[in-house]
Amino acid sequence: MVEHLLTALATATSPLSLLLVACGVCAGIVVGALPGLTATMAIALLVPFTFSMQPVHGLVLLGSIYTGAIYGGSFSAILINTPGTPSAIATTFDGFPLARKGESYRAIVTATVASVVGGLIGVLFLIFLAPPLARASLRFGPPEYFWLAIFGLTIIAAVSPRNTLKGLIGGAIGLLVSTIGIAPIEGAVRYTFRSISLQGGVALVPSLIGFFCIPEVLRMVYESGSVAQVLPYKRQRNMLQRVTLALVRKPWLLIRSALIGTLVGIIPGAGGNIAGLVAYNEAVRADKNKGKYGKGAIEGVAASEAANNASVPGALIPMMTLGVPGAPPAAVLFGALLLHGIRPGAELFTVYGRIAYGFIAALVLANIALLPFGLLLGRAISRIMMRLRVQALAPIIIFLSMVGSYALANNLADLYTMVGVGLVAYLLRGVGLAAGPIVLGMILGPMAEQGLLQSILMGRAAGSIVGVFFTRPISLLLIILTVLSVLTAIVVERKALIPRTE
Amino acid sequence: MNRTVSERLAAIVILALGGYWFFESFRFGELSALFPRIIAVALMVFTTIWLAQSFNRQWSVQPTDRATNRRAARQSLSLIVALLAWTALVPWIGLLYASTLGVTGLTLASFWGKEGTRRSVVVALVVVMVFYAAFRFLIRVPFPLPIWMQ
Repeated sequence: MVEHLLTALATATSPLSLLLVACGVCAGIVVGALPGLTATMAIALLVPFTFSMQPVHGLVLLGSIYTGAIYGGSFSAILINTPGTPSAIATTFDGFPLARKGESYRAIVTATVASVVGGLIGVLFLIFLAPPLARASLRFGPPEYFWLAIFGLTIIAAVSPRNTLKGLIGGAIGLLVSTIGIAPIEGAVRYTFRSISLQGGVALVPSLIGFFCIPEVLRMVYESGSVAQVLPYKRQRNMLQRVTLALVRKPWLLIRSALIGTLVGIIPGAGGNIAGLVAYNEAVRADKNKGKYGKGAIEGVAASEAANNASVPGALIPMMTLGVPGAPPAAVLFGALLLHGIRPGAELFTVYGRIAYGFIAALVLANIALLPFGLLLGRAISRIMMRLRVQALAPIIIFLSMVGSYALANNLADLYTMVGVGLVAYLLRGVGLAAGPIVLGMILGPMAEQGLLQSILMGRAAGSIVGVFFTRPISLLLIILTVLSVLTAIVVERKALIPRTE
Repeated sequence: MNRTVSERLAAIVILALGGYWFFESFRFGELSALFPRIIAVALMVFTTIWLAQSFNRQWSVQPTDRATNRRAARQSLSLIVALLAWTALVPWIGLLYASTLGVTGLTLASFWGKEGTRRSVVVALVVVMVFYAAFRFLIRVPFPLPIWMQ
């Protein structure tokens, strides 16, 4: 391994590799920042360009794009309250409130530093612990997925700080929306209102754009009579040093979030969106001053971004060691490896060790490259946003939302979904039902339902349904975490000093 | 409409939605119906509690400027109408033409008379064209075309 690592370092630091890392990270950041364009799409579009490259250079480019795109989602999450990629959902909770206070650049710097640290910790796991972690990920069966989804739903309390009841209502609405389409086990067509477009369910990414973006644009217009600019700007000096010092004083925040991101990323199907949400929830739980979250706490931004960038190498662990992709972008990378004649699995680190470790070394460089390129692009974009009047910004955001929703599957139904969901979200916001819990329900619903039904079938075959749910070690661990999360939410709610008036 | 009335109305609509989801589930098989039925019941329970709470609580009314409220509401409504019209036009006249009309109409309708509106329309149109070109020619997204070009 040491010999491979040294060779890989030499490959990764060649001028061509460094150029590919720089281009990949910048392209990834731009793609990730645009709502509707996902990391999966970016990697898929660029795979054909890698045909003529050496396999290691192709992987360097694709890995850099993946890293940049997951980080880039934080830009639109912070500046326009719309996650550029699903991984940045939790970043909106505190990132956008920071921007509204004129501290958008502080939020971006926090996201950058956290992404770099989270990504590097994830890569360390990839280098040293890939095989045992991959074997552990195979122990996740339907009961574990079910309990993971239930644990994820307890985040509703964290994202509904002053009204858990409305958060639960929102979460239940999201879970019901997730049942639209074809049932996972029996294949029944449910709640489609005879529409063929709905047979595949309600598209997630257009819904995300609609939930977060349209109400925000309407709010901008509504308040445009009283604010001079969409986002105020406060001059911020030495921001990198100040943010770094603030995060260094809380080392466990980043380490815990990165660990969560890596571990969740390893679980096939879980992904960066769940990693960010779970890490955010844990950051809230672990903090004595819980009331600051949701109002512009940099700890919230840091937790989400460290986790979602750590999930990148996390998702690559099962892909590289077992050929089981941990997330959709990893699945595309799996395809790219096959196209170059390389089969992921045990051989990847031995027969193709130079390529595997070269790719890993490039991930290290890509994460480091996030710092200069992310800060440059972040400063430029936030300055442009500050100068735009709401009359220009509102239609531009709507156009980008339309284009992003359509471009996913070249389907007009996605465009209609985005607009329809956006208008419904605007109405629901007016009665205190926030988008966060609804989106959580939509994301976790399919995992929860499939886990539940498959576990019931397993239980029937084994002669004990209760045994299947409550006797497996990983399930028990997740149940304990769920109970702790619920108890914490109840204690916080009771201790809340904020009066419930509007 | 004040906040209390809005909340009660929303709760009733959501209760009806939960009821529909629950009763519709009887058309499906056992396993297909289980999850939606559980969630629908949970939703109806939570919403009933919310509705009951709304009768115990009245939102305090903030003194506001009615003229400002009416203007803001008119702006939001014209934005919603412009957005719906923009979306409806896309399959007929293509994304580019629909977006040109949409950007112009939406901005003028929502911000008519406000300083800097005309220049903002120009800025927005330029940005829209740049992004359209990037998506169309770089990423090669086949955007909807006008019906006369299909």
